[in-house]
Amino acid sequence: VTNQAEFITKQVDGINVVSVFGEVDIANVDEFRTCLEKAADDRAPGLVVDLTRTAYFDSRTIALLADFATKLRVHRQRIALVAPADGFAARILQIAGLPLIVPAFQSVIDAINSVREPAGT
Amino acid sequence: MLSLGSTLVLYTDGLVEGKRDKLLGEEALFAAIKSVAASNNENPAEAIASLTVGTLPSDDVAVLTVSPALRPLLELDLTLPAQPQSGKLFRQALRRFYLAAGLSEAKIQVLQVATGEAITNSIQHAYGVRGGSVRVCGRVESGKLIVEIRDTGRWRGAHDDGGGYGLQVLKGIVQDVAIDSTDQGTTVRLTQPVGRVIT
Repeated sequence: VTNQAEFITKQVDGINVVSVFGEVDIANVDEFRTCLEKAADDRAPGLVVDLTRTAYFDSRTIALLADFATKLRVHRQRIALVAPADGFAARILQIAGLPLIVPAFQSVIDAINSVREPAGT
Repeated sequence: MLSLGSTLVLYTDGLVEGKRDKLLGEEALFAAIKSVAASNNENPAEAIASLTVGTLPSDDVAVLTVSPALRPLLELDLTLPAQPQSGKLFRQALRRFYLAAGLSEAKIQVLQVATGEAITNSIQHAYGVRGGSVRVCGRVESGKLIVEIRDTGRWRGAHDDGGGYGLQVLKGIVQDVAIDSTDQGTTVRLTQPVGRVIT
């Protein structure tokens, strides 16, 4: 465990929200993966990952999020990101083209609402 | 905001009134500040006080100096072991270099990802179990920011643990990416006009 980032999981309206504070890179991306796996609740419609306060992440985190979204989809669950426009996270996600695979929202509430929408809508 | 290399000096009037003539005192103070600024003194406040009032008995003398802790890093040349913990250390050094080049916080954050992709690739794939090191050099040449990431291992571009996102992210941030791979090692050179670093 490094002290580069803190991963804090809180439940909001029955949805787990994982907030990432700090920097995620090769040294702690596995820690992030473990945290996401713990936060993925079989009974919930999905999971929200808040990147508003994330100061650094790279393609390993992007690949992890894309991979995790695919895994959740198998269980008819969703993952939604929080990355306010003009912020660092939104910029990197956009460059990677991730919003096509994993939707990103302006606020935690928007992300939670999108996870709650019934599948197929 | 104080720019790198500048110093703010705060003082009480006892510092310049010790010579009975306030103007003379101020002249002495300015001369002392200039001399101390040029000397990179470890305790500039103490040096300024002693140059200004000397050994004269004085009361009410307080000097406080404020300066950014980091000296500008105009050229970077850092070699670290090829291990995961080095990523953060490289980012800290690169941050100083990017700040010295005059980049904004937002630009620095994005550029860190580009250099981070190349550094991580070297850390993870350049070496086998015997390990090795990664060298990162940075400089500004005719308005262009040049960062080189070198290792002495083999480039394994095909093995992208970023799920294929690594090179896409790198090239989405820095337009000019040159990868030079030989038996001796691999150098990734990122060149970007300072004024055109995207945010």
